[in-house]
Formats: sequence, structure tokens, C-alpha cells
Amino acid sequence: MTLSDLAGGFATVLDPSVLLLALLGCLVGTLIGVLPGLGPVTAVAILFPLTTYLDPVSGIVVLAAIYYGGMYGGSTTAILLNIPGESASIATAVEGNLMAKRGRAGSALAMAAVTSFVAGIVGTVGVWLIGPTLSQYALNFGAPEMLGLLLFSLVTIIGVTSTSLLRSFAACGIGMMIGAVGLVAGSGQARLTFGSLELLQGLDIVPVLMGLFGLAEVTRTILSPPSTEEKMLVGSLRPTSDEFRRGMGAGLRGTASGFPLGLLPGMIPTIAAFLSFATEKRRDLRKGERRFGTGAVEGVAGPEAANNAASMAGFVPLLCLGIPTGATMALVLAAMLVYGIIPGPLLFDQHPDFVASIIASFFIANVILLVLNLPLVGLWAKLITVPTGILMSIVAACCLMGAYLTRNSFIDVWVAVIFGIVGWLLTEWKVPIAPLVMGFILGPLLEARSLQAFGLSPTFFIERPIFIAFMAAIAVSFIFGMRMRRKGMAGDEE
Amino acid sequence: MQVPATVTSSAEGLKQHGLRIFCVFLTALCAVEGTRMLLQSRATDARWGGWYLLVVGLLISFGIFATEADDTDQSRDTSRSGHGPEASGDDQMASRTPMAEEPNAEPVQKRTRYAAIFFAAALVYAWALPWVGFAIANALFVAAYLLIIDKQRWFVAVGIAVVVDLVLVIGMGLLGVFLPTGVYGLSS
Repeated sequence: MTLSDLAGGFATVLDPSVLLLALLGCLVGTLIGVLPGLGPVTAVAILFPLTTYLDPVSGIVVLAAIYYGGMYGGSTTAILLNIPGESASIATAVEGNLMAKRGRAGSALAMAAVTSFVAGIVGTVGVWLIGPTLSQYALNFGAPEMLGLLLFSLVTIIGVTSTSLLRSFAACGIGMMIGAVGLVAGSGQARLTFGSLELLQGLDIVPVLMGLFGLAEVTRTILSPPSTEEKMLVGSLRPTSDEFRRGMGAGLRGTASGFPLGLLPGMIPTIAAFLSFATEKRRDLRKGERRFGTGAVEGVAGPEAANNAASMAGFVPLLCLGIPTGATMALVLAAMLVYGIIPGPLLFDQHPDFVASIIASFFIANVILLVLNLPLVGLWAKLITVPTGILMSIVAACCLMGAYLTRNSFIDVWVAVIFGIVGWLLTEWKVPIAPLVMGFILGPLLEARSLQAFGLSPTFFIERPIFIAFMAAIAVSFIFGMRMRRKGMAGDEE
Repeated sequence: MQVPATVTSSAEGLKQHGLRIFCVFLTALCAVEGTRMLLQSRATDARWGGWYLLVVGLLISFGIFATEADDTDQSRDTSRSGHGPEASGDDQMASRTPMAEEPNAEPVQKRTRYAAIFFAAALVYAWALPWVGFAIANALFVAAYLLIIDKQRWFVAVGIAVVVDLVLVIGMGLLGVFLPTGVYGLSS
């Protein structure tokens, strides 16, 4: 992708109507992100049916803005109220809330925003630089190589997203089963439809996700309503020069570690944030400063930057290979498919204008967040005092409406409700949702590629070096996942 | 009020064995459907689809063998590490947020009933939507949620339901999105 492509992307995104949509996306994303229990995944899941009425570029711009807004909103409540809006903000909550208790909430929020901005910009440049090269390389991939890549993605996510390997495998299987409903591609044979004509077209991802994320979340809130009585003053947004220096250092280190980690499937931003937190804490102990535990700015800036950089890096495999690295990326992939854009090696060649617009939209969304959200911190903090019941009734209504709107199909509303029940039950049974979503999205691809690969050569698995390399990578990632599990670092994205 | 022991034990039993029962059911479904496709189909694609379903069933069957012991090891690890970065994301989330506060038995039972009411209301919404249309179904759903689950006063619940309804219906109308009008023909 050339600089002129990128300039064209900026020209598209800087159109007043697209800018306004990005602004709204940031606001709504932050609004949902600050609500306890609702994170960027839920924000994207709830709102993306509405974006299907926009053109692809505007839709992706809005989704990116919602995603960023959701992440920033989660950090705000983590710092001010010690209520992480999503799991990636837990590391931020530890030191951020201690800073807030010391009267440095404004400074913590400012450093979180600034380092997130820097990480977001660096990550965007990374997507721009790495994306086209990876796409060119991926053009050499045939069915066996793609099969290897799909297996690698699934196994890696299974390996790191839950405390129980068996539950992760089962979740992935359930997702693949849901994805298998409908006509078998190429044969016209009905599968798992039980004679229903509506099920012949398969289950759409939107109502499934509305249920699994939106309605299940409402149920969890009904069962365990969050308390939001604690109040916190924001104070000055200006960090001291010492805080800025230490925060920026930690932010840059977090960015450097978060971006490469985010390129790996299953390496959700939460893990990158915790690794950064651990690194900063060890660094603090090694230096003998012992700031951690009293409200260290490094404990806010590092995880926030790592979280953002890892999130950005997730777009590289998504755009270049069509492989989502986690639940949020799976949602973005689903959105792109709904817009009629198929991510993969050809995307950079066939739709350079679209990719350039996406990259430009990341820049713009970052800037909007920095410029707009920081002055509105007080407002976001007040939002948390709105009764949860009222907010949840609106969330549930939006989910049910969103499920219907995808295909204007009444059966999709039933699907959303049923998957709401399933999502809630799975959470009760400690079954992670991320492998299920990945299995649902990647399952049909896996089936098609495996058929093609065996059709090419029944012994492809010993003939294709890239496939063998992927198998070796699966073994390594499995061992890595086991180590992470032993250390207790595995966890679901939502 | 004392919670009956049978209710608590059956809820606990469902929590303990629910996943196992669910996975057995899905595995059996995959096995039956996969075998049917293998036996009845001649096309390679369809037969491959049958094999695929059998493999999927095998994956789901792993859930049958998932035991509490998997989590016991994990909880031991996380309790050792506390709130530090070594603890898993979910466990930390649970331990840090007020949602994790262990409620007493009566509210748990009451809240479970509310969750059941919520899904019942959602199912009624799904059933009624084609007949009464979005405007009425949505208003009734939101009002019912606020009245029964959130215990709002009736005029507050109705007021919020009407406002939410108007915002959604008019907003969608402005976006050019068509919502079901039902037999009454109510739309923006």
C-alpha cells in the first residue's frame, strides 16, 4: 500500500459525515464501556447491527471508534471506581484506583489516555507496515497451508482462553456445531436443521452474538447487580513531570511488548496488559522504589499501552489472513463479511482504498478519543450512577432489535434469546465464550479447507512444509498455553 | 425466609452436572446427524460434512469429562497469587468487582427467578413481535423489565419504556430502517 493510498484513506475518513459517525461511535462506545460489566466486545456486539446500514468504510470506522471508546470507558471506571468495565482494565484498576484515592485520578486518566493514544498510533503504523508484506506472503498459501493456519488459530485460542482445557475444547466444538447448521456447502444436503426451512440458511452470527454477549450479560447483571455507590473526585488532569516521564516510559515499554504479542492468535489484550503490569512491577522492585501498591503511574500507563497495542496488532492477522485473534476481532470479521468485504491476502490488493480507510480511521478514532473523552471524564463518571436496571433494560431491547435487524428475520430474535440462555448457562459452567465464537466463525472454513486439502493430496500433511511448520507452531503454542495455565494467566476475553 | 433444601440442592446439581448433560446431548446429536449423513449421502461433500460433524461431536464430548478439579487447581493457584498479575483475568474480575460479593441464599433465589422472568419476557417478545409489531412489543418488554425485575414504580417504568420506544422507533425511522409494524401497523 502506497502513501497515496493512505492519503486517499484519510480523505475518505475526514469527510464530515464519516467524522461525525466516528465521533458518535467514540461517544457511544465510551458510554457502554463505562457501564460495569460491559466492555468493548459487548459494545461492538450490541451496536454492529446498526452499522450494517452504513457503507463498508463508514461501518468499519464506527466499529473501530466504538471499540476504542469501549476500551477507554473500561479504564475510566477502573481508575475512578475500581470497577473494570472489561477484563483488560483489571490491571489498570489495581494501581489506577490507588492513584485516584491519592487524589491523582485526573493524572491517572490522562496518562491512560495519552499512552493509549501513543500505543494506538504506533500500532496503526505497525498494521500499515506489516500488513502488505504479510499479505504478499500469504498469497502463496493454498488449502493445506490455510488449514494449518486455521488449526493453529483455534488450538492457540483453546490453549489460552480458559482455566480448563476440556471446557475450551468443548466450547470450540459447540461453536463449530452451531456453524455447521444449514446446508453443507457444495452438496445441498441439510445438516442439523430438523426439517426447518428457516434453518437451511444457517445461523447468522449477529443474533448468536447478541445472545451470547448482550442478553447473557444482562442476565449476569440481574443475578449479581453491581454496586456503584463509591464516588471519586477526578481532580486535575495534568500529570506532574515525574509522572509523565515515568508513565511515558512504561507506556512505550508496554507498546513494544503488546504489539508483537497481539499478532498471535489467542493472545488477547488482557494478557498483554497483565504481562506489562508484571514487568513494570518487577522493574519497580528491582529498582527498589516500591511505588507499586501505593498508586504507581507505571501500573496504569504500561498495561493501558500494552492493551491498546495488542488490540491494534490483532488487525494484522485479521486483515491479511482473515484470522481473528479473539472475540472482538471475530466480531469485526463478522461485520466485514456482512459489509461484503472478505478479509484475507487479496484484501490489500483488491481493496487498497478500503484498507487505507480503515488504517486512517484508527488514527482518527485515537485522536477523537484523546481530544474528546478526556474533558468529558466527569460526565462519564456521573453516568455510572444511572440505575443499572434502566440501562440493562435498554441494552436488552437493543440486543433483541439488533438480532431482528440483521436479516429482518423473526427467527433471529428466537435465536438471540436461546443463545442468551446458552451464554448464561455456559458462564455458570465456566465454559469460555471466545473459543465458541472462534469455532463458529472458523468452523465452516476449516471444513472447506480440509476437504480441499485432502482433495489435493491425501498425504498433504507430510508434503507441505508450511503446514508442517504450523503443526510445530501448534505444539509450541500448546506448551506455552499449558505454562500460562499453570501460572494462572489464562482467561476469557469477556 | 428459609430456602428449601431441595431447591438449593437441585440448583447445585444442575450447576455441577448441567454441562455434562448438555455436552452428552450435543455429542449425541452430532453423532446421530453425522452418521445419518455418512450413511445416506453419496456426494463427497456431504459425506465429508458427516465426518466433520463426528469430529465436532468428539470435541464437544471433552466437556463431559470437565470436572470441578480443573478449577480447583486453578483456584489454588490464583488464591496463592491474589490480585497480582499472575491471577487469571476472570478470577481477578470476580474478586475485584462488587458483583463478586457473595449474596445470601434468599436474594440468590429471588434473582434467579428474575433471570427466568427476563428470559420468559424475551421469549414472549420473540413470539409477539410479528403480531403486535416492534413499537408495542418493545414498550411492553422494557416496561415489564423495569416493573418486575427492577422494581420501578409503574409510572416511571411506563415513562421510560415510552421514551426508549420513541427514541428507537424514530431513530430507526430516520436511518431508513424498517421495523416490524405488526397487525396494528404501528411504525415511525
